[in-house]
Amino acid sequence: MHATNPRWNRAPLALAAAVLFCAAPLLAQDNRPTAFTNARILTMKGALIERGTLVVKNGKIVAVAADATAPAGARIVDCNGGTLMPGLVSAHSRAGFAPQPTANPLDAMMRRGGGRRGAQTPPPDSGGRGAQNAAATKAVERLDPKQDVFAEMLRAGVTTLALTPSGDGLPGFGALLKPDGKTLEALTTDDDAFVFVAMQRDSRVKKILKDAFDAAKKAVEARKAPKEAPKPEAPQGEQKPGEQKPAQQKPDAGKPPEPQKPGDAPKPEQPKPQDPPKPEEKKPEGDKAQQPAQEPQAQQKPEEKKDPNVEVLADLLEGKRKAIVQVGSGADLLHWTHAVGKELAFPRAICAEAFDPQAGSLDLVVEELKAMKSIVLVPPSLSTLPRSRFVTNPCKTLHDAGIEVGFVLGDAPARVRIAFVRLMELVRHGFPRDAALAGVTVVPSKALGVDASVGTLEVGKKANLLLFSGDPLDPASELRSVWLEGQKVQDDTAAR
Amino acid sequence: MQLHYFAVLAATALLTVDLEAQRRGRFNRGGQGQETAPATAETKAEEQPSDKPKSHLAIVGGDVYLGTGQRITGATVLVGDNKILAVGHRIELPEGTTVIDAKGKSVSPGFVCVYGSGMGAGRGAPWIDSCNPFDPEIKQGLAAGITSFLASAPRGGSVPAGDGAVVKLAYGKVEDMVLQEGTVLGMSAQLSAADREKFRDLVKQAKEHKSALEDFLAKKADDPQAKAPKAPAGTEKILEVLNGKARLWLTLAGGGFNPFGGGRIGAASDVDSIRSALSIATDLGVGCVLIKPTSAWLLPDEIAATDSMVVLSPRDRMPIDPADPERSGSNLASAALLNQAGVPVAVTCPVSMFGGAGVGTNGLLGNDLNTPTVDAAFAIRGGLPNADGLRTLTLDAAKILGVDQRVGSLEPGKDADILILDGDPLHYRTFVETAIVSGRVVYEIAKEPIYRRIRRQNNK
Amino acid sequence: MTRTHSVPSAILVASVLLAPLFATPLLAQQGDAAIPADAGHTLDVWRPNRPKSEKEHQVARWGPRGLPSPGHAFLAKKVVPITSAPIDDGVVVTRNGLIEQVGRRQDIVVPEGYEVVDCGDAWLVPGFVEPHCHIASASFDLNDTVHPTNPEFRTLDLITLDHDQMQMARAGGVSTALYIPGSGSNMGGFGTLTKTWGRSPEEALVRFPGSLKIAQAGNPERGSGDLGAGMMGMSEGIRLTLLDGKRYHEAMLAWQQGKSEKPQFDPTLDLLRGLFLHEFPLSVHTQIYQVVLQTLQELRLELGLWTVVVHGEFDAFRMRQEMRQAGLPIAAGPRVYHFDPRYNEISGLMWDWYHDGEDGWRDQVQGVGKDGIGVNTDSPVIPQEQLPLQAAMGVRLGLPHEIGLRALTINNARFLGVDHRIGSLDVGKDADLGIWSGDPLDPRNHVKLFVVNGTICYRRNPARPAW
Repeated sequence: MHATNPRWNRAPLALAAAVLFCAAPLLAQDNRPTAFTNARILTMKGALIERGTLVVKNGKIVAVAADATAPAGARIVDCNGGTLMPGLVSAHSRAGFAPQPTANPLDAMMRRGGGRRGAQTPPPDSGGRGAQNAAATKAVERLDPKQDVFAEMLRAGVTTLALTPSGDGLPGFGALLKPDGKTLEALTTDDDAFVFVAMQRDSRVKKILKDAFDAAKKAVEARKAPKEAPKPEAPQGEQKPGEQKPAQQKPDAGKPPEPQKPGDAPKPEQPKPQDPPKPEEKKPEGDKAQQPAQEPQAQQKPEEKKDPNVEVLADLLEGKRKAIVQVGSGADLLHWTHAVGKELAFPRAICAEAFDPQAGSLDLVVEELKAMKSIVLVPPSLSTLPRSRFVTNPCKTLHDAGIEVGFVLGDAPARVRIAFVRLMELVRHGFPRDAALAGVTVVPSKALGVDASVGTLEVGKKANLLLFSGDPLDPASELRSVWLEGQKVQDDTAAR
Repeated sequence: MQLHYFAVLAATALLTVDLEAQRRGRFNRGGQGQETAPATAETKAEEQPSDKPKSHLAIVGGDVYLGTGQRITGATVLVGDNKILAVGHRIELPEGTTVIDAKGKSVSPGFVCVYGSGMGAGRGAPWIDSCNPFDPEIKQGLAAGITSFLASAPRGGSVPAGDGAVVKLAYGKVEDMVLQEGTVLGMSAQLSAADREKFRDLVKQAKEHKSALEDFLAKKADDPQAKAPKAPAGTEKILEVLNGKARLWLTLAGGGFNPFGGGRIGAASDVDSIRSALSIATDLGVGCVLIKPTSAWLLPDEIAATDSMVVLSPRDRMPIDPADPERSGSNLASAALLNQAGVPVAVTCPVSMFGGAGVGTNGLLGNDLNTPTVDAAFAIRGGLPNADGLRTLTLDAAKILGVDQRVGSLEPGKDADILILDGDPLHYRTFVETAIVSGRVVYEIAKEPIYRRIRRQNNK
Repeated sequence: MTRTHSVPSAILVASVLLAPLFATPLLAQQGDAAIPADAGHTLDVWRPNRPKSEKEHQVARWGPRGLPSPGHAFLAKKVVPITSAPIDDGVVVTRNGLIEQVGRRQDIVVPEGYEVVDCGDAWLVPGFVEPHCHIASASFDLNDTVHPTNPEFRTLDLITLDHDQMQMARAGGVSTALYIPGSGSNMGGFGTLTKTWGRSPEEALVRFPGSLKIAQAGNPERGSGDLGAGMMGMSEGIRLTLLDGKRYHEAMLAWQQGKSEKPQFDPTLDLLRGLFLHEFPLSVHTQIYQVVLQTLQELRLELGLWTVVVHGEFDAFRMRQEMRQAGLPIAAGPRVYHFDPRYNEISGLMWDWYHDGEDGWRDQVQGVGKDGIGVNTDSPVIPQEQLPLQAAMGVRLGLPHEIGLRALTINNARFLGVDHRIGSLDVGKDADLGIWSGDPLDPRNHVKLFVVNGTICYRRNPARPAW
């Protein structure tokens, strides 16, 4: 009961229950391989396996096929014909932030009335007033790890969770979370997983974005200049210590490798800017270990002060990072282009938390989105024409135009729990089933740049699994169990 | 050089003028005399633009109201990209031109509203950054024939100020949404003696600076050492007005809106307050805009003498003072009398607590911007010739906003903001069928829901 | 309570049609015009107790008719009598406040001594009738709210014929107005039917009370005492007051029949009595669907009153079939369109009332038809000169032009029970004429000449057509 309602977070009872519970899932570490037999497997890559076996070892998939066999000594999970699919990837979520003292539900209502974003956006620094280029800030710093929401998200099927900063303009890095644990370290997979851009049709926000990207272009030019070659300087100065480290830790952040390869200007790697192995290889603990070694080195070059916020964007322009650009509406998207120019391209997904017919739902800018060649993340819902109840299906419109559509699952576990119902509604309105499932797995994993490790059921990928009693898009199906890196997530809600 | 659009002889023009057609229209409307354009209305583009248009659009065969008060029947309007290339008969259409057949229809410049709100306009300067090009009100404004309007009415202070914008209803295109910004300045004409003196002094300084600058520019060629003069503090906006870069709108005494009574103004703008406004125009030597000068009908020639212009709401009423009935109160003939004196007049709808300068959906049709033509109609009711009526919503309105180089008439070189209507533009049963803004078709009545039910009722 | 006519309605209709032929100006001057039955319309106003003539009214007082006015013969390109087909090159002959002849120019002999007024290309239409306005109010000065209901108030004492809205009325072709209190309380008081011109308020009077003004939800919420901030409470407040009137009416009736003592005279209750005698209607300011339903249920069906819905707006038209069946006419305005947020569509309110249509939750229903729809301004909310513009906007949104003119004239007159005097160009009716430069619905056209009770009271001055 408590767990289903986020408002119970601070209730002592719930806390006590949560402590008990959080200890539960991964305690019984079992190093034996696990074989899921008799499974209908939605690999999300290639054909559906009508009946097959999936073998997991050390948290990773080691075999998945119709004829795969369970290794000797393996723990057998008989799926009884149930369906296995990859765990959900939520690429846009603000679940888990420390509660905002100024968050006033009335504000949210007012904002909704104004036809801008939904009530889900935390209000404190919106409206353009608080907009700034704080691209090097980390959302994860405002995380409150002791919340039930992560466990609830996990039980609802989310095995990869993004943490999206709130604020306008360039509020900072979004993080990648593994929703299992009660500490920052346990939760955080990647604290600078993507640069988050919160676009609004607002002169202040637009100016900040334009100026920031202009500065970033200059920074890129500066990096390309040959004489500048051996400049491994790190973003320095008055930043909070916590902010800085990660920019250097980033293996591909553009700075640390330079001393080794002087003069080799980094080039944007178009197709896959983030090399697949990165998210896996990056272990927070490892990063921390490197840190002290680098910092003094960086301080030796104080002569050229660089704005870390700009450097982050320069990395982005060089294709070394990824971004998620949030827009409130089709109008905002046009304003985005108007602010930064059509030519400005970098690896990014476009994201909208809600459809806003009063300012154009995203299907009105389908041509622009096509030209951007970006993944588009939208809510799994229908929309309406403005000022009417005529139902439209922007998701389908976007998909039919050849755009990869991923879904924003929302900040509340309750919202995630009905995600499949919402997907079913889309399917009923003509959205293809495969695309519906891809939209909550592989597409958001691409948007986050973690498609090499999650999002599909392939050998080598993390064993994040959902086991349904039937097809996930069948209303009679039940989510039987969730598996995070091969370990079953204990669902004790029934017991409580 | 294949584009010889304009080789039309006067004789042909006269022959092709379709006198009969002046009375046609869906409801046999338009019985009120409409001046036929003289042959000179066969306008010519100055020069072929250096950049050849990428696309062409032609509206063919309609009764073309130029917006200047003239009309050409059965004519073609040729658009290249976002500009009008030619208007007239026998225009050669370049290959690949998209043709819209307007036979039996009227073609008119998009209406320019001197005051409006909503319709996609942003929240303030820079207006373009917060505009909403998908605002459903844009479609409703286009359905009303509006293609541009002044967002944010100028206010009255003791010096010219303001950052309002002329917004275009360029549905779906941010870049086209703002036509001009900060070019309409507001100021009160009712100044204290001290403020009046201060303003006079600022104008003097501005004028001195202006001539100093001219001297400098003349000298500069000979004397590279010459120093450019600096504009004295506080004269910047005045200089914009002097240089014709901005229009100065003057608010008059009691010019506020009475919230009750359909725009009755109460004690607004007697002759004295108009004269004090005109003295400001005289000081500047530049025509200004008088906002709702209720007594303007008493001194049209004085207003004309200062090159000033007038924004009116013909339905506003000021009661007659029984002590001086001949020289007090409003007059429905105001627009007519001012027009006769050569004063450009723009009309706007009365503003009250029940409706006003927006399209909205509160149901007060005839008293909001859903029918801007009703205000022109009331000016005509007061004696304005029918042919001049449309100008209050087109060319004269554009002049008053200082955007007549861009919009307000169907003339080569101007923005292609064009309406195709199913009858006389000023008839109360006429609907806009197609609206084109900056060369793009942004509204088609058959494709939009707003008047769908009305069309169904009319079996269209 | 209801008294039914024993005379077959066909005979009544016939007598009405023939009445003008036999009516002499003398009779009219005495103010004993017959009140016609209402039959054969698409919507017959429900008023079964109607007095048979003006003289039979016990409570309502009728203004004078047939006052001296010079003989005129108005020639116009187009004469629109409303109740019959338009006449090209027509003539209307008037004298002593009444219409004497209407016809084609070649058929009419203008009597000796009558002034011929050639109006050229003009259209000649009846003076328009405004069924819901606050025409002589300075602003919101008609919203006295002393009690939850205030039947003790009346506008009779406030007629100001040189009021600016009265001047606008004449310049806008409006000759008769029902001047009612505001909707500050559920029962604002008694309204007055007045001409918009006269040599004195008494001479301009058409009937007092013109109506009892009731305001259902939509306005009076702003202050109605302790009782009635919600729709049900307001409804009960109205009921209680009307039941007081009903008891008084029954006591008077009993006394008249010799059954009991004469009740103590109460000026307010005595006026309310006229409602039950069907001498004048309730004019109900009502806007939304639910409230019109309330009006129908409570005032018309439960209390059996002659009820007219004015200010009918928003989605109230969904009641059109019930209104038609119950004989409840409707005047639309000041809003003239309904925005339907389900479809992003605009529809014309007058058309919606007039025409059959679907109402969302049920199949096609009947509209009130050509005889059931009127139009009002609520002046000064919409200035009085814009009454024809209200109809024009209705026509813009689909209403047939002819119905637009009917709404302005005969329909509004019938709803208020004064169609035996005004509302059309028929012989024997008041000589209230609007002479327009063209179609009166086109706001570009103007009144050239305006005639009330046979007297030219407005002549357009081109230098100053209206102040």
